[in-house]
Amino acid sequence: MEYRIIISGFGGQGVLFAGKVVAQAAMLSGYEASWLPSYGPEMRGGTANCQLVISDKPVGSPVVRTADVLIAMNMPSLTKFMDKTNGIIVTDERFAKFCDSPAQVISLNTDICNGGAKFEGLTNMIMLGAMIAKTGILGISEVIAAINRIAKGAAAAIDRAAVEYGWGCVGERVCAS
Amino acid sequence: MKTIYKKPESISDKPFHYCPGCGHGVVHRLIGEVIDELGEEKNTIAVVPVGCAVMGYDYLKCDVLEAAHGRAPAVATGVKRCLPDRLVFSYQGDGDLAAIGTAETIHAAARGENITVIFINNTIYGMTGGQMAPTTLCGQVTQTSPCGRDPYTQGFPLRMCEILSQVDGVSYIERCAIDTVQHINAAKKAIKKAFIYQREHGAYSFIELLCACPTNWGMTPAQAIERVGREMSEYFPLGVYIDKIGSCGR
Amino acid sequence: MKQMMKGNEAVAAAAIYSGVKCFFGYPITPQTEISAYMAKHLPENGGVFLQAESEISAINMVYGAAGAGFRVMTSSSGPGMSLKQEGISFLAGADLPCVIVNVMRGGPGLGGIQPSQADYFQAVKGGGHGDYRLIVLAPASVREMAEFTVRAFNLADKWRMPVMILSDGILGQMMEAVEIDELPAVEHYEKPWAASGRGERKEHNIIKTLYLDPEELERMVFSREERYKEIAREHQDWEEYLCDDAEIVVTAYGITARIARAAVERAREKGIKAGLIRPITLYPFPVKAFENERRAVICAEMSAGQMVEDVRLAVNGRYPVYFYGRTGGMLPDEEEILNCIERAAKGEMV
Repeated sequence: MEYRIIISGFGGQGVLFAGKVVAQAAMLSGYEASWLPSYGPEMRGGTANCQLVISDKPVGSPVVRTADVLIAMNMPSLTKFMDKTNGIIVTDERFAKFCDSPAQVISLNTDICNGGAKFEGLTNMIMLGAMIAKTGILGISEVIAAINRIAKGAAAAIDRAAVEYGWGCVGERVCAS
Repeated sequence: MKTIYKKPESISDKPFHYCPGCGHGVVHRLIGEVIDELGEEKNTIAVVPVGCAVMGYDYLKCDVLEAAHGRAPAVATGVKRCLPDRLVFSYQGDGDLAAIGTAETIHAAARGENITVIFINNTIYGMTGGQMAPTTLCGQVTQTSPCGRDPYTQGFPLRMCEILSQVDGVSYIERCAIDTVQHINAAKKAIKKAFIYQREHGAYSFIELLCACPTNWGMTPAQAIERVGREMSEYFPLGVYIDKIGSCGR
Repeated sequence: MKQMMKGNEAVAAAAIYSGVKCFFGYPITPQTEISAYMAKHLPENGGVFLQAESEISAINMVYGAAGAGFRVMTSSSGPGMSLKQEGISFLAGADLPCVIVNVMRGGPGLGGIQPSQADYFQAVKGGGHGDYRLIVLAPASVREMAEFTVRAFNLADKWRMPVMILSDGILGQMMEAVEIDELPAVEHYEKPWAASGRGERKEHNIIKTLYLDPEELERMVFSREERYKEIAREHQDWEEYLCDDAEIVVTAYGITARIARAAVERAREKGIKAGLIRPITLYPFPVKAFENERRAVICAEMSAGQMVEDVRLAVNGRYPVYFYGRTGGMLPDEEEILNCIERAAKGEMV
């Protein structure tokens, strides 16, 4: 078993954090895992991505050339990585309609993550929840445990709630292309 | 018979290689006397520069590190941060301290490193045979300013005491001269005060000593020492620039 | 406890475990997490973190702390490593132990900030002026970043010389699980030579590099060369994968080795007898790893071809040595390495 994941979006959207949660959850599930961030001169507002490899044996190259899963949190990320994704793409329904890919597209309504809504700024956690629900590579309880290890207090609580919300979205809102 | 004059205990028996009239020998002796008087020989670590004084390690009986050119304050920082109860001083010439090592000089001062910097200013690179230094006076002839230093193409001489006076981390700055008996006694007092400030107040001190380099100035020792008191002291005024502990700043 | 850590953080944590007293650094991508981790955790472990005014000052502070007899480390990348070379030459010349971490990025000049292995020559051939070497260790995982740091401190003290961890932007930035409580043992060495204040010692200690008498300097250099030879006998280290019957061997270090390993596995699936030799010590270079006869060796690097020269020296003309490299921050490609293996197997590689 080897799973290759790319999570991508604007800096500040929690791209790297979402990846750390996945890597941590994979480790807690007994898998080998690597997390490789893009790094560059951009800070907030620039583009960011991280590449994850989850495997039942030591990870070879941590670089993801072809992804089994892509979480694309903005349009440039979708454009950049959709051709490198073979399995599943998780993205916002506003972008999904532009998605021209043989991959299965999970398109989410993320209104609940926008200005003043319940999960404002937590697109990362919602998409992460949807991704694990769809792929089944990690259990929700491991992801919750991972969040508890790397986030604290109120932030951890809202992250957990958002992951669970995203997890619940799949099935109801799935929109396979 | 009563001994009225002897070599300091903390100075070795090795004869100095310095030229007649050179300031280094006198300053080495002053440092040795001060270390003896403070009883710090076993507790002192010296950092010597690249330049004529590099062989200071042969003359000082305390532990010594030879630093790369200009880097003595950084090396002294490394030593002192590991061994905060030792007496640590750097001994540097003008090229070392005010040209290639300017950054190290200023930033060690900015951090208020608990060290003492002894700065030998003789307005010339001695060991390499007499080239223009950052403190070479305007009009002074050297190998690399054969027509005399032209400040408009070769820069103005740097006054390090004045520059460092603007740095908040500094506790004590004094400029002395190694020319007359009176001045040499004052220089010894300054060195002693700096070492005491380091030991008792954790203070950074900077002691500049105007010295003669008769060989590279093309002068006799007597002429050279006279130049220290005349031309050099005019451009580099003697005195206490900062004394935050004794609070008798200028 | 098993935890996810960045390679840079693993180096810093392992240095603290090794008893590092001081860390002197300067910010430069992609190694800055080492400084950040040290700033946060070294003081609470009784050590000293200091951000120096320059790379040059940082390495000279290392010289001071090492000369005083303490375990000390610095880290940098690209242009910063070049600035440190004067100081590294002095450390080698004064026989001072310390650990230097290079998280390589693309060069020359400012180059880029993406991963590279283009500082190989600088690391293994000396880097600064004069006759000297460093022991150079090449980790290939976050776990090894931590383990090799402990090993580096032990080797530095044992042999009284600077040891370099030659890493790269990927290894520094990536996270993997590491057991920070299960690192190799820390060895302790007496340092009677340290300039730590004379105390009751009869003679003073001098830390110096100046030998004006050429006979004396030659003697010093040759005695150091003898030590390097001993190190080469004792410490050559490498890892082999599927090498027993391998006809085509890929050799690569660090992160490139992990990419090459995947290519080797795929070549095996295609029936090619391929194997991998991963040098772990880059100095001393694992010459012994190349003693067996092969049909060909392919050296894969993130450079324009540097380690390949040492591979050629090791092989000494007994069989062909080919080169495959990507540089400037571009990563070696598994597919391209596989292609090289296939061509070498058919005798079409040049």
